Amino acid sequence: MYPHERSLVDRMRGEPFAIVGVNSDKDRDALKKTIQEEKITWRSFWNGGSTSGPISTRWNVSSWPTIYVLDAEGRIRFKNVRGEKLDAAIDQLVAELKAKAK
Amino acid sequence: MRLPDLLLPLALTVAAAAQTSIPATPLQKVGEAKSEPANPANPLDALKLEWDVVSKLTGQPGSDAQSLEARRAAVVRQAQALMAEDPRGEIAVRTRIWAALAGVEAAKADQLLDELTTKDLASPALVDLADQLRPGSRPRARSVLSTLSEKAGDRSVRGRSLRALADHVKSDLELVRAVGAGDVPPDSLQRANGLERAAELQKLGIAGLQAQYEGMLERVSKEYGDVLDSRGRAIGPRAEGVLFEMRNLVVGKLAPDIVAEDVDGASFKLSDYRGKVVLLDFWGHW
Repeated sequence: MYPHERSLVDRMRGEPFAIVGVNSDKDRDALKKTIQEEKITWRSFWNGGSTSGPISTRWNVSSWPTIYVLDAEGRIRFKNVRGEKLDAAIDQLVAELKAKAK
Repeated sequence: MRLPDLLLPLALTVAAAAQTSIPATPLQKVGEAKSEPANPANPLDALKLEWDVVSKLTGQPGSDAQSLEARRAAVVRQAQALMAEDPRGEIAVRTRIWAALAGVEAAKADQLLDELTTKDLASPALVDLADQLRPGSRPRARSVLSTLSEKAGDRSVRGRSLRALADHVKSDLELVRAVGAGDVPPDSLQRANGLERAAELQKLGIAGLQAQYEGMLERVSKEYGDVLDSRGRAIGPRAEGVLFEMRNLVVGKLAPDIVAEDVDGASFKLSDYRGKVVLLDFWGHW
């Protein structure tokens, strides 16, 4: 997932787009190292150090990664899209947003 | 012949294969904690191990069909002995479940299931049966679960059977949806369920099945919330999680806000990102 996300960050630079993570790793210090090594520039919520932490429990997440794509109003528009479909979903929502702004 | 004599050569083979000898542990904990690792000193676990070995060797080049058949017959005999020794006891019930579902007594599977859903109804060990009757596992799964969810003497058995039954409804719901969307051949319902059941499902439709599924999950949460699953987790909160996702985490709904710390301990909110398209990624580095 990281390479795809990194390429999204590059491709969408300057666009109204952001990646937000919810991380369920156990060890916070090891995670900080991963974030540096993998060049993860986007911000992540800390799920309390467990896959059964409060955020993933509330969102009923049972498989990882789980992906949601939200529009600029915070509405869920896509769920668990991957690869080219993920790119297309983001492009569509950014285009919608820009069309509205005009 | 006494049972231990029967089992001795088998237990030795198994112990040699497993290279461990774990002291015998009492069996009465079934259903209240996670499933325990196979224990060769436990006669049923020893039988299961032997059965797996024989099944793996069967049909392999160089394997001696005759001796495998003899070993298979020995497992069946020993299973019968375990079921007969203390017929309503926990080991007998667990052996009956295994013999019915693993194909050990394939020809008698229905008879064993009859016994489990009548004479054995009081047994707490039936949680194993509830857990193993997954959607698609066998034609009778649904009716067995339905009986257990209503008539089992043990509350955990009733709760876990109801939870398992809900998964059957979910699988029906998904199939009806897939047929409607043209993702699978139009006769998939009939092939999976038979004509009669397929007609019932079509009559219920997506809305009816959805209501049934939600109703079952609500009952699990209200009546059996504190019952533990095979991994020791309460089934109520998990059922509520499924309900919450179904009702709120669907395309078109406003995402619930997240307010929490980031990796460095600074608090932020998902709603800070309003005005931007957001890829929300539940991830972990593992």
